[in-house]
Amino acid sequence: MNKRGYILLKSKLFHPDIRIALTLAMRLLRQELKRGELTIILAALILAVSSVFSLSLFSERLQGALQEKSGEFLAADTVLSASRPIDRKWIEKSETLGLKHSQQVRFSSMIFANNQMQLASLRAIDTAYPLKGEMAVSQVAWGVGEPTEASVEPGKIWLDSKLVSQLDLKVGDIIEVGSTQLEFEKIIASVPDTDLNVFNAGALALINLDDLEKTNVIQPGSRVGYQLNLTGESDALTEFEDWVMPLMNRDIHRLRSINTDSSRLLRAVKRAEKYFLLASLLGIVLASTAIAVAAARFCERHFDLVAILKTLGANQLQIRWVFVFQLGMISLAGIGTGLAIGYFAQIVIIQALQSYLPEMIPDAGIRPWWLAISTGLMSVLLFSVYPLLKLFSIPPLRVLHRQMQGLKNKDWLNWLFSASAIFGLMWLYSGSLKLSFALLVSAGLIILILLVIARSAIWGSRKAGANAGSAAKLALAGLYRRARENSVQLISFTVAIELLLIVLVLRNDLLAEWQSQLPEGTPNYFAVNVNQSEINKFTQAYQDIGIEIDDAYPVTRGRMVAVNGEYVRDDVSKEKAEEGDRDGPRSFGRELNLTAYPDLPQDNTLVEGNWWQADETAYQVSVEEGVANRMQLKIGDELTFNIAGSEFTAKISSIRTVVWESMKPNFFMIFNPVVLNDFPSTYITSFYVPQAVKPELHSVMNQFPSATLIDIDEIINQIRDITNQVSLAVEFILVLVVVAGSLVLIAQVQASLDERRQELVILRTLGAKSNLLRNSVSLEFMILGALAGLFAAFANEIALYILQTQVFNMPAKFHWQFWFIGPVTGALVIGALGLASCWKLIKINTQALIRALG
Amino acid sequence: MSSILSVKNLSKTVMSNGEALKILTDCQFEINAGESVAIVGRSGSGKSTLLSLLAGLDVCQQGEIYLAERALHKLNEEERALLRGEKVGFVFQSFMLVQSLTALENVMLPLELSHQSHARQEAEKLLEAVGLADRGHHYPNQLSGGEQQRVAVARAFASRPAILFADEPTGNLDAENGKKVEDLLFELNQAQGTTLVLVTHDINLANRCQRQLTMHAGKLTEQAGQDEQVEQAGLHFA
Ligand SMILES: Nc1ncnc2c1ncn2[C@@H]1O[C@H](COP(=O)(O)OP(=O)(O)OP(=O)(O)O)[C@@H](O)[C@H]1O
Ligand SMILES: [Mg+2]
Repeated sequence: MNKRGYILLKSKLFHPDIRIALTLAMRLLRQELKRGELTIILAALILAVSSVFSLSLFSERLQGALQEKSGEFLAADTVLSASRPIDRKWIEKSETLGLKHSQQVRFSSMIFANNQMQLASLRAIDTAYPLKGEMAVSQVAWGVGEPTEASVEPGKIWLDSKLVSQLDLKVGDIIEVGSTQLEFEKIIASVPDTDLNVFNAGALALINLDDLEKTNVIQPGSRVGYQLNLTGESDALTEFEDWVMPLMNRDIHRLRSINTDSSRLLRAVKRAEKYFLLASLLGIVLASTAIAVAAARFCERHFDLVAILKTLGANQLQIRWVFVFQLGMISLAGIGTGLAIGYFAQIVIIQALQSYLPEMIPDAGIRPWWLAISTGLMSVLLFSVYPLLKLFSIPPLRVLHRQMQGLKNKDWLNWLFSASAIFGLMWLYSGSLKLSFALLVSAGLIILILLVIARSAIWGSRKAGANAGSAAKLALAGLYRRARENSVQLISFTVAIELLLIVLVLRNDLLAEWQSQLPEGTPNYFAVNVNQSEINKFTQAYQDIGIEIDDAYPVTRGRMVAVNGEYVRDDVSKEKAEEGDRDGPRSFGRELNLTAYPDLPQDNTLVEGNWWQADETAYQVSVEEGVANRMQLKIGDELTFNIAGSEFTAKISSIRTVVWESMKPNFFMIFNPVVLNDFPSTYITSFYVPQAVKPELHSVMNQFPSATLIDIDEIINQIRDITNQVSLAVEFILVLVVVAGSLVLIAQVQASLDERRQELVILRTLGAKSNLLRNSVSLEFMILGALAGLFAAFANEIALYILQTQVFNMPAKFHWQFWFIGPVTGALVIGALGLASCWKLIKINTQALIRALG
Repeated sequence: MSSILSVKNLSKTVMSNGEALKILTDCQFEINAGESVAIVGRSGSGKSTLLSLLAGLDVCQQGEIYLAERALHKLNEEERALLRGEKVGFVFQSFMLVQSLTALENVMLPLELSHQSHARQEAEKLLEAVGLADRGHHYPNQLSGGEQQRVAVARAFASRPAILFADEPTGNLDAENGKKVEDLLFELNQAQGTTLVLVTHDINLANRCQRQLTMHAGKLTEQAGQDEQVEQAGLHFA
């Protein structure tokens, strides 16, 4: 384009009024920037944009990684299991949807080798297994596992260490499974979808699915589990699930997916995701609140300018564009910087997390970009509409009457725009209309209640002020005079502190919960089926290699048949079990693992009743709380059990809670020792084996051929990985929320100082000592801060109760310490901020002040 | 001589604490182009109110005002702004400079708003005329009160207004600076033929004007004799 054409285009694009507005906007901005007036609004904008950007970049990756991990527990995204062969049509459907699939058949069978036999849990798998996660094999039995890409070929069999050592096998040996012979190829160290129920775990053997028929093991009536594992695009998975659900028979089929699976670990991950979402949402709301406060202040500081411009004959178009350009340029600068910082932060986080995130998920796409940009634009636009309207309507007469304002009685407009901005942000970020709406409504309610309390508290302070010292009197009088502004400030202080507290408490609770689950030295091995006669020898053998076994529990299988003499119907309990907890009541309707023990096991806590004396002779039973609740059992109820055909009755003497994640044997029912004396039982125990000692397990276990050792290191490590990832994310969010909260506080203090400035100058001119002013200002802010802290502690308690019980499914706690910490830190921080911001103001001499006021 | 400002039956009523308060009652006068007129009177008598109506800063609801042959009372806000930009200049007691613009930029402001070319050169000339040629790049808070007011005067004359309104232009200045600003006003009034309408408590300033209008509780009387000046002196020192 030639120069003339360019000028023509320029003159067409830019109305002369708009051009002059642009020039003016640039000049004004330059100076504002120099004087640091734009620091807060820019900082808030940069914070909001960079955090949304880095969070969404990072959280998509984190979520991907977590999903990946969760998937590994199932070895797939979705698992359809059945007690009958799975319909060919279902598999075809999954293929047409573009899903990858893998089939599996699980059954128990004897395997023979070296003229010995052993019971094994067999899995016939195809070469696609595992769809998620990986298998690990070791060179020697009980050796350290190494990941493998290989799969079990037809004609081969892979066996776990236990089988290898029990049958004394070496690679290449021939193994008989049913009517076929297979070559022993590899030692299994771990598979991703380990059965978490240790009582179910037998020695594992893998064969190829094509060999299954040849074995002739599966006969009509034998207990067999068929599995169809699926993975693929989540839309396609959902479509498949929706399609297959109505075709399923509840008695035969069961569908689990990373989204529906209710295992405790996955619930912990889900909880973390919820926290992540909620906390970052709060952080972003806080940051945009800071933008709102700063934008309002930006406009207010320009009231005089508009009056002057109008007096000098500026038209509406010019005036509007002056400010639109200014805000536009601030947004541009803020968003640009925010994106740059966010991108950088994300790289740093990913670097730091490299060791936790096994494979980098490909770039998160453009969503984070537009999410961040629209967050910035939306915050600036929606939060400045009302202040701008107010600004544009400033009458020129203000040059003569400085108190003249524009729009009056249009505060509802402000609330409307702010509410829609916050709602929009939450919706944009969470993608959940329900969550956004719930948060908005509850925030509205809390604010309303706070408004009422705040007003009355401030009015109350007036009375108190009447007989206080001079600084206090001045402070309280100031509080009262600005009751309206102060109650708004009080609320924003409160909300900022409250959100901080919420995020902090949730973080502490979540981290504490996770850390308590798997402390160092958490048992990483279970031993089951240890013979009664061998248990002492077993304990001794382990002690010899330096491993202490604290608790060993006798286990006997039995059924609970009656409650208070009334026989329970199996199908009923089964029905209940389906909708309940995975590790919970599912045990009912089938045999239970029963134990007897003299003491209350570690990690168990009595909630009702008393523990027995070790030598108690009356039959007693202690019931796990969840079971007791579901089956409506209470202390004193008589439960009848059937073990191997003989029935007996025990009275419930206590109800206890159990830490399921403790990686120790846990039981629904524990009897006092006398009860199981006459029944044969095997022992179960768990213990921690350091990495270095693992090779010695081989020789120890050889002494106890009937016992099974289950390695759960892999599971523990996976859980730890997830916990670590999530903890880091949680800390990151906390930092974000703290920074955002501080910005709100600073912005609010600054804004309120603008209001106080005039008054300070007058008091100063009237000869008030700077000491008095300083004391009264900091006192006023301290009172506001303390009140805000108190309100925040109150609101925090309510919000946490709701969040913990409704969203996170954690027990709610009372956080008494925050009733103290809240007001004290509120008073100190806000008092200090107020003092710091007005320090300069009080220091300058009066002459300069008056001139600065104009 | 043609009339540049003509006021008929101008009244102003405001609502104060739910009561109607009449602060201007039936004001009526004419001012010719090039004249200098002082409006004097007790504090609270309604001088500033009158000025804001004459200049089109406030909306005229009762009575008629003709400014530079336009019926001001019939114009809407935009039209009044345009008229102000073209015909009217202002000087205020509190200077009313834009704090984030330099002295020069402040003076350029009205020129730029009305799309005049060579705004910078014009503004520089004006700054030179008020004796601040070398202070153009300074911001208002780097200038003394007197200097700020001279910048304000330069700005007021920048768009070569037909009429200039000043509300106590020397009210915030010491005698020496006040005198400087005063001289400037009259010099420029002479040089550009600008009509001057100023509200003042300063008897010397009032006396330099060709005419004096006295406000008394919202009512206006015209004075020309010496005795009024004595009375004014009394008012001034009261
Ligand atoms: N918007 C308003 N509401 C109520 N009263 C007003 C309003 N505007 C002006 N007044 C009153 O009208 C009267 C005239 O005010 P004005 O500012 O015009 O006085 P003035 O003559 O300029 O006084 P001074 O010399 O002190 O500046 C005063 O009593 C003032 O209190
Ligand atoms: Mg006045």
